[in-house]
Amino acid sequence: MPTQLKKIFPRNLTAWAAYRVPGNPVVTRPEDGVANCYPGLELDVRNLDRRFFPGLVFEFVARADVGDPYTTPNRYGALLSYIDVFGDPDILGPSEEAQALNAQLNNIDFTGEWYLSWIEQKGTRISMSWRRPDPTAKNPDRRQPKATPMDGLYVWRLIRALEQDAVTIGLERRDKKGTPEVVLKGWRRRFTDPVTGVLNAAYQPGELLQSLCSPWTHDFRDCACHYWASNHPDVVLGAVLPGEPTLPDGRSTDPIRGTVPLDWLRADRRRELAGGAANTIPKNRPFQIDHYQVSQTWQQLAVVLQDQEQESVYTPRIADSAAPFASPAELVRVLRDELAPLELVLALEYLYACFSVKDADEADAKRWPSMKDDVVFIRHYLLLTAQNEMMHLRWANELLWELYEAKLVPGYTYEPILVPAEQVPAPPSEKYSGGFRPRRLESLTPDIVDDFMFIEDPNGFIDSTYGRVIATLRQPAYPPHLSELAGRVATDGTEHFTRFKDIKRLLGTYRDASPANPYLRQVSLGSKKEAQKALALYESILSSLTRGYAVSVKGRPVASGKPLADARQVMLDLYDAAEALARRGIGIPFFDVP
Amino acid sequence: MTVHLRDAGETPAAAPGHPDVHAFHTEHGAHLLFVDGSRIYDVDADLQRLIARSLADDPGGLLGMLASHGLESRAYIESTPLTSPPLRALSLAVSQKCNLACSYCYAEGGTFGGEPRNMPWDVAEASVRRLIDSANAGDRVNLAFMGGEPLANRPTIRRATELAAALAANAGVTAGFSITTNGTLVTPEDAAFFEAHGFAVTVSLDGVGAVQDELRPQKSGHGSYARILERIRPLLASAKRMQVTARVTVTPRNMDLRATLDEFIGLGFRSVGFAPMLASPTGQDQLGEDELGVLLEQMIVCGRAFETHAAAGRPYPFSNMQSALTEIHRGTHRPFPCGAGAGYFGVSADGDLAACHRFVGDAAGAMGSVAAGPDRALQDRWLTERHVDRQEPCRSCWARYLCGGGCHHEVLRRGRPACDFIRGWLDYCLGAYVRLAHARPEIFG
Repeated sequence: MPTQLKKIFPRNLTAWAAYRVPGNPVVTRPEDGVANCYPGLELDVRNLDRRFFPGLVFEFVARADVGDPYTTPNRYGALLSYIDVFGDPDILGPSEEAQALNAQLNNIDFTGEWYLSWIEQKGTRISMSWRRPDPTAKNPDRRQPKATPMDGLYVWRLIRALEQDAVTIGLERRDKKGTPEVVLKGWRRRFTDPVTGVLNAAYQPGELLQSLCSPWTHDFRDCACHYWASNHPDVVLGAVLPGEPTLPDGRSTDPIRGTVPLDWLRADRRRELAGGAANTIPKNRPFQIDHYQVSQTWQQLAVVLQDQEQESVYTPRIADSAAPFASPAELVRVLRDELAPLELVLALEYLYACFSVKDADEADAKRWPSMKDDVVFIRHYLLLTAQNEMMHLRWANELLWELYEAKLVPGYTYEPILVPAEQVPAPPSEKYSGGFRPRRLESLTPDIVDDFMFIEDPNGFIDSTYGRVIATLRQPAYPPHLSELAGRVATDGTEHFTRFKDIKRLLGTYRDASPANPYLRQVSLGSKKEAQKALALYESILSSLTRGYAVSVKGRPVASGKPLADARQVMLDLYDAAEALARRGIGIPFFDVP
Repeated sequence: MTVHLRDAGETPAAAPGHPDVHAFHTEHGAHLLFVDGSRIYDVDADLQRLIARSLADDPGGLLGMLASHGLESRAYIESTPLTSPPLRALSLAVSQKCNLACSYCYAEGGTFGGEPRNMPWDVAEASVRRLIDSANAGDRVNLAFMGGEPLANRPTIRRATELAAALAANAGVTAGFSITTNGTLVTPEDAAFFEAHGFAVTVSLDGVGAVQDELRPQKSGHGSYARILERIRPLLASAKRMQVTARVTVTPRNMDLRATLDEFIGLGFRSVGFAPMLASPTGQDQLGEDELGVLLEQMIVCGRAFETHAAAGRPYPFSNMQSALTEIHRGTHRPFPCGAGAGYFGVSADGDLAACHRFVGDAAGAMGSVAAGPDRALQDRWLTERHVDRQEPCRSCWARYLCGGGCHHEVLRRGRPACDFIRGWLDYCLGAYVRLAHARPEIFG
């Protein structure tokens, strides 16, 4: 049973820095940002410099565009917009400098329009006014005779260049000439903690995000995955309402709402009218909220977590508190002797079942109008799932070679694991009491689909064993990225279960058909001789993978590319060979079946 | 006086506890310190119960249970030791002689068991040049003057400081200076010199009046307190750039910490700190187990006073508390107690490098010479052997990355008699941190 979320509050800086907000993906951290400087997509860097001087908040007033004329130079520059004597921790501390600056700021009358007039650091003073180039002169270097205030962006650029050290600044009042200049001695704020990277506490929540692309909603509407790295969701699953029955992965049990993706930007947000998203952006575009709407209604767009819109309070799904394995040696044993061989045998069982299903051109569309679509769907997903299992086989091998390289198990040397398991998890029955059945190669009858669902059940053997693998790998002794690799396998397991569930639903159409299972080819297990060519391809795949994995473990990931690419190429040949054989009623004997 | 750290029936803070987490409580609830990374979390009552149950019944499963609640352990500290870190600080034993006769002196009257002597200029010069040469523009280095009583060799201090300042300015390096003195020889000119170079001046003072006289008498047998006070007045009065702090070595004979603290703060010291005497060469005046218990109570009394002042927004420069809170807030985690033998070395009057100022003349901490530079093989072996994860019983102690394993010199001389004291103090400071983070969050701005 998943445990309930507990309330946890990170208290000190390392805890803040390490804390990942439940539900937020890693890309929400600033270090993962696209990092254009301003107006920015994650933060506007100008907002850091607004508070470069403790206790003061400036606004950088600039022309709309750097090419625009200097129409109102007196308005440009760093305008003092706020004196933060109560909330700025830099001047609330106990140090003498902080207290002196605080006292000084409290005693100055800042009524009117005050601008930064100069900055000085380490003996160098820079004025915030300059003699601009004279646009009427022939010589482009010729300057106007009188200095005028700089554009706010230029001022910002100069402030950006200050070092984190003592700074003296001059402030001038522009709306009342003759007001004496104010000189303040302070320091360039330390924006982030040097050890942990946590932001200075002067910045209020949201402050670094204000002034993002303006209006940011327009940019945001268009920043989809086809356009920019920082994007919003494009297609999502609809929200699950409180109390609605769900699958173990949190999706609705309603097959339509649990599987049909919606357009996240859809203008009509009524649940009963939500149609599936079309497969291209232009087709969806007429039904999406437009620029003029998004500024008003952006907040109606749903928060999406794990591909699903959220309408009520989100409770993160938490990994089961599985028991870690007792030792690295036991972990290696389970991966090597149980999980990796299981991934391969499943890939082969699924592949065999895939070719047992008719292709679209063989479907009896007269009698079964939906059969064409059904078999396309079933074959597609079986193939996809078989491919996934091959990927898992690679990851299981990768875990093993990483564990070997981390030297966690004395005496263990990595050898590629590319031998299918002989036993596969099965529901307890009179025939198979131990929870396992012998491996087999069978056509995709409804019983076999049940069998596959059992194997991929999120509470079943494979997922719970991977749960233990993850719990083990999360321990500090293991390289930190390995638990994420194992986590991906577990996530896919839930996906597989859902796919088989969908297939099972489709097969319901043919429940009472006579002869039975009309969507199947009449395929039976061929002899090694009949399938000689296909088996040679299969052996060639295994030997390429063996070479590729063996090279990877020697720290030469680039050199592994060639054999792995070879293997992938031969897989396409194997597909063609398997399809040709299946049309002749021959199934490939990938392994000996008892 | 009794200080109740915990509720009855709970694991005492002083116990080594779980190697990866330390649970503690305040009036604000339950909290958890993740040992690696020194991360602190507030946890709610449900999770607190799960933690308590796990600590009691299944300590091995605790990390897995916490991970399932989103509190994942991460490896911040590597078991691989540092190799040949750059030189960043030297302390020069400019004078291996002293005019005081403190009962517990690790330098055995300032001479480290040898002949009284001054550091010749060529050794000081070579040290300064090596320190600045090893830094790149933008780096910070520190040059410390120790003894004996360093002011017994004033000319070398001045020359070395001026040379270092000039070389540093030329190289774009920031040089800081510090001196630890017994205060008896300080002159107004010294004060002006220290102020001009922004020295951190530490005056060793063990108590008020007769207490100081008894623990730190002059070699003539006379007391030293009155003379020191007279000498350091100009120092305290002229301190702006420089920081003048008092360092109190706590022995069984000066355990009234709060009174000492208040008296010295009243004198105008920028900060006042206490260090327990754990290993004196003769065994005299070092603290025993019972006395360490009293010390902990006394430290907490001072800590509570700090909390009261801080909550009211008043400075109260109790340096042990200030530094503990800073480190806890930052989540400092380190496999060594200090930079000794890493970026920091002591230099003897003869020009030998030692792991720190305390190891001068001690083969256990020999690190090569100023002339030839640090002996990298000796240094790497030191860093490998002194890594806290290789120390017992540190490896299984929750406080190891905050403590670093204790002063190398004391550990090699006497072992680790003060672990319960250190854990008790850190546990108190963790609670104080949480309380102050609630009461005055801006302190940690």
